[in-house]
Amino acid sequence: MVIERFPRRHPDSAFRAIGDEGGMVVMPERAEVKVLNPVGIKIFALLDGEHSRDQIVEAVVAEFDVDAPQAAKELDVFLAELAAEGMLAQGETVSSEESP
Amino acid sequence: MSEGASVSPFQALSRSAFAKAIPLNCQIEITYRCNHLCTFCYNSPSGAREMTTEQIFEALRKIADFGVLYTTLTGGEALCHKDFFKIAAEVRRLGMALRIYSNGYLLADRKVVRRVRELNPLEIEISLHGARPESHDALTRIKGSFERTLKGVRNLVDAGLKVMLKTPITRLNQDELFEIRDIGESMGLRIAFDAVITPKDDGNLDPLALRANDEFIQKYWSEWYQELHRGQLPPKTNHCASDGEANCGTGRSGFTVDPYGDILPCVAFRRSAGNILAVDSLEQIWAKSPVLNEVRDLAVDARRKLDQHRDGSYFTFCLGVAEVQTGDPLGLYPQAELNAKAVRRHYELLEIGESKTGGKSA
Repeated sequence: MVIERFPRRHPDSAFRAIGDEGGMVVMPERAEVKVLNPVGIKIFALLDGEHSRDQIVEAVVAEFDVDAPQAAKELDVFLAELAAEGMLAQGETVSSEESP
Repeated sequence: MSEGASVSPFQALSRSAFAKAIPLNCQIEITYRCNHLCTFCYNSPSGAREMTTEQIFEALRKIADFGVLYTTLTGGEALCHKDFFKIAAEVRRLGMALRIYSNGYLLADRKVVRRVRELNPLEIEISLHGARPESHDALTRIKGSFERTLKGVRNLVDAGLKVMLKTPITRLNQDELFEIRDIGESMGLRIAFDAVITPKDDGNLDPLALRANDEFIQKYWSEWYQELHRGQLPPKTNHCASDGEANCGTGRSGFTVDPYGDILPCVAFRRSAGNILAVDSLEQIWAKSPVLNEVRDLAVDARRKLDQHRDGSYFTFCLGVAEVQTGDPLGLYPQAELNAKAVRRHYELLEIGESKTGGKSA
């Protein structure tokens, strides 16, 4: 399973970090609110279509106690979860095809 | 990286946001226009020009940029705004969760409800003022409003939307509360009763003449509350308060924008902290406004003051009501004292019941 190189959150997703404790995201279309832990909200804020997957991994490694391979693995799982919940922009869904 | 559903990370984060005065909610009054004439309505239009639709869009962009997650559209009657659906769609386009406060009158039309459904609102709160036309219509002063409101509620429920009913308790409906509850439950709906009738925003005390009589209010809190609320205990704190040091969430958990664009600490405490159209961003006003800082301090002072009171642990106290009614935001107004005393009595009766039965009764 391969992730888009520059993943982008759904443009209708409002989100807010609450201190360093995590954050909340409004799920597009459903008007429900999802709670993310500190790593999750950090990543969500970086899903702006400008940060690459590798840059996001670097940012997570720099701030949290995790090594790069583990961070990359968890990022892929997280992005797949977001994609399944419609929280990534259209065209940014996780696919099994090779990315360009 | 999302939290499990069994714990309550949402509550934990909400409490943290409250403590840090990070606002998650905004209530925007898009117009004072209304198709009802409720005698106890707190709105006091000044006659100034209301924001245009474009200006409301500008306000919404600033609200979204500020990180607000939940926006409530209210009024007046929000659905009376000619561009209500454009405004509501903009709230959703900006990614905020949408709540709608309405009297339900225009929702008797299924076509309107279909358009509301397309907005995917989080919740719609509808005011129901009686269990029958005689009481409801007497309070709204619009003949036929009871039937139309109920039809509107049914339409919303049929459309699969989440609805909550709200009933301010007045002397005209005080004997119908159980029937009102039953109407709501027959449609699977939650209902919130409000025992405090507030003065008008301009200080006019006329609405208070409609409040339920003291004997009723005492019995409501001390004897009937649990039965009416299916076993739920009466609240000991304001619904907008967390467990923090502040009495309530005014200027802290959210804010209100009135139809002229003025930013208020909350819907009840109507001191303007500035105009949303006059600032580039809400960040600065939120952090530096003397009004907001004073209001936050007052909410802490109120909690400390109530803690000194005999019934202090049982108060639901509104600084805005206190200011309008007594001239002092920390002034204890009669309704709050009466309510606290009766709630205390409820808990005392509960303890007597428990000691007699040797266990918890609720």
